[in-house]
Amino acid sequence: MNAIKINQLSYKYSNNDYYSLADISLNIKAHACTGIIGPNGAGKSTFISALCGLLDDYQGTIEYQPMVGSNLLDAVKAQVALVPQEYAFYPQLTVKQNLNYFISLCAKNKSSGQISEQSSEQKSDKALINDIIEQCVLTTVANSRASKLSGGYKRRLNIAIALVKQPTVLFLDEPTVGIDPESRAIIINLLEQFKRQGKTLLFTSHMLDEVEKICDDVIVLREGKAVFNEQNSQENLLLTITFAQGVETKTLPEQYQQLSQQHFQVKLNSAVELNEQLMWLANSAMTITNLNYSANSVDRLYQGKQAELKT
Amino acid sequence: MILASLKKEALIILSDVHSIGVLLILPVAFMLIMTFAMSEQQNDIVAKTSLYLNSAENNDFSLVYQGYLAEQGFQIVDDKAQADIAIDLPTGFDERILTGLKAQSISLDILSKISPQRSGLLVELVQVALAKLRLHAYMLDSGELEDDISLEQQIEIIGDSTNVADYFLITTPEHKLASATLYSVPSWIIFGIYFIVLPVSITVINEKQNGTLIRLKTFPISSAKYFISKVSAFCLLSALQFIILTLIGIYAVPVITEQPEIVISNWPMYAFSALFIIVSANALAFLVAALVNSYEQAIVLGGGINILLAAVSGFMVPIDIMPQIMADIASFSPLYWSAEIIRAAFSGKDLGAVMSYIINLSIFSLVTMALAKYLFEMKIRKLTWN
Repeated sequence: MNAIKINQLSYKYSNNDYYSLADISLNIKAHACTGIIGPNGAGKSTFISALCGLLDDYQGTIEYQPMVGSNLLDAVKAQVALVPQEYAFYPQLTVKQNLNYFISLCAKNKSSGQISEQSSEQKSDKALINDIIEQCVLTTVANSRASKLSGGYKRRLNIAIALVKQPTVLFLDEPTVGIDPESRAIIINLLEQFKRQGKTLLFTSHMLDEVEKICDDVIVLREGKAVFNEQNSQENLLLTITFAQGVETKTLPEQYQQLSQQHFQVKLNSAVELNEQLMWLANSAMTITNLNYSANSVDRLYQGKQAELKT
Repeated sequence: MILASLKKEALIILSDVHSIGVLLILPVAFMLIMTFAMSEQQNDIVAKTSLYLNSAENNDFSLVYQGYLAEQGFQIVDDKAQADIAIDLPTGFDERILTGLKAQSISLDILSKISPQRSGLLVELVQVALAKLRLHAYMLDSGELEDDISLEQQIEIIGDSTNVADYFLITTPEHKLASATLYSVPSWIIFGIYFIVLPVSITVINEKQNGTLIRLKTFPISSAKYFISKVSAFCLLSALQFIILTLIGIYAVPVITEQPEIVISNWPMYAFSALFIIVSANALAFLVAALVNSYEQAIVLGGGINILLAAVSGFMVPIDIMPQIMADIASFSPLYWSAEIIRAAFSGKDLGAVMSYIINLSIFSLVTMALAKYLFEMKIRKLTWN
């Protein structure tokens, strides 16, 4: 089931003569985590801005499932929470005061049950804030002024504010940038909790190991185009085979990708598939001079795609 | 939501010492300084002026003239180097005082740096002293003034016969505003209220820069509703500021400056008109906030507009001593309308007397607030996540 359907999305800033987003068509799966990676200037922020309804005159369509409200921004306001890369809160207020203020902005919609699928289980504001503080491990600093917090706590407060909306879809822009390993681990754990709660997560990051660990899907953006959009699985394997000279390779299945004359690569989704392929090769009586396999990591996918595009 | 917004804005302002300074300390300081400055009476001004009188012949009437100058309040000094003003009497002064002095025969030198207003007043007093001297000479000559009494007694007799102040009953439209406090307190209350422009602008710039505005865009609240809640919160803060400044103006400033007490003669009108003034000040503040994009722009545009409007509205220099063109400009200033309304409330006038100013403020507020809302929404619409 898809949470967001994107069809032929293009966008050009008025002061640019090139498209920052160029003909992107893809689906974001519901209740899954999708990572958006790409070099600086690839269009990640513009892509998120478009999905958040922050761009007025884009081309193409963006549809939330279900589509609440009459336009994209209405759907976003009802379902989506945004965690910007900047600390988007009031530094003069304490953690609790920030959360109290932002929750007051949701008051009307909560009573009409528009924010969340869980609206039937709406908690009181106070209980919700306490839950969020606990969930984001902010208890010890709940009454501290936000400006006095360390970077890790600030990042968590940034996420906590998004949670007051009780969103079904959560966009996070580099949520772990510039923080210590302990805070990073807490945030990764938080994201995994969100996944378990069935939220749809979409986040940008330069930390490919994070993307690999958390994300179910990966979108690689480059020059405004989605150059790669595929399921990420830690069980993805790459099997590389070098056949002996003279071996007839025309009979190889289509999934075998030829790297050079006798050099082939095949992507596999599980150890079972690997086993099946090894069995098939053994039965085929083809002479193999070299064979190895490795995890098809996000890093490898990303580097490979970048190298491919450069050539 | 408005209460939450009010609490947020109040906490932000209270945590910022500069905002408190702008909203409370600055106007109170101006109230005190300007009340002190304006409270200096004519007698004080003249008493501070030293005068050196030089007579080539050192004859009788030059001594009498010196007596009349001292009666006007001047400090007579023997050393010209210590004098603010020096008067040189011509030869034959005694003989010619009745028959007629030659034009421009008495030289009057202003030696110190004295403002044009003050020097005009001093020259007038020097001339009044000479007029009394001529009357003195005439009455001596005609025998109406006995020459066997002391000079002090002669001067007292002339002083009594030339005292005409008691014959007049002077009534002005604002006779109750005679004291300096009553002129400056309303002006600087209004100045402080309109300085809400800086906290408002800085709050909006902060929200834009720290990303909260763009985050708010994804919250279930329209930019129009957010604008209205923010305006309402700042209007409530302005009301609180209005009350504090009024209490300080009424109870503290007269005591500190040793000026007569002042009272608000028409409290209902004061409270009613305060609402229009507060909305007008916030409309201007939000318009400026919607226009500026940096702290520097906020200070230059917000602070600059406020100071300029205060200057042309007669807050720094009373409007009645300004050139006519400046006085005409004041009649287009919302600060001037606001101050006039407050002065009217202090002097016990009814609402009808200031209705034109209230209508002006209402139109100004409507137009400015509508423009501010439009620009604010445009500003939010242009925000993207970068």
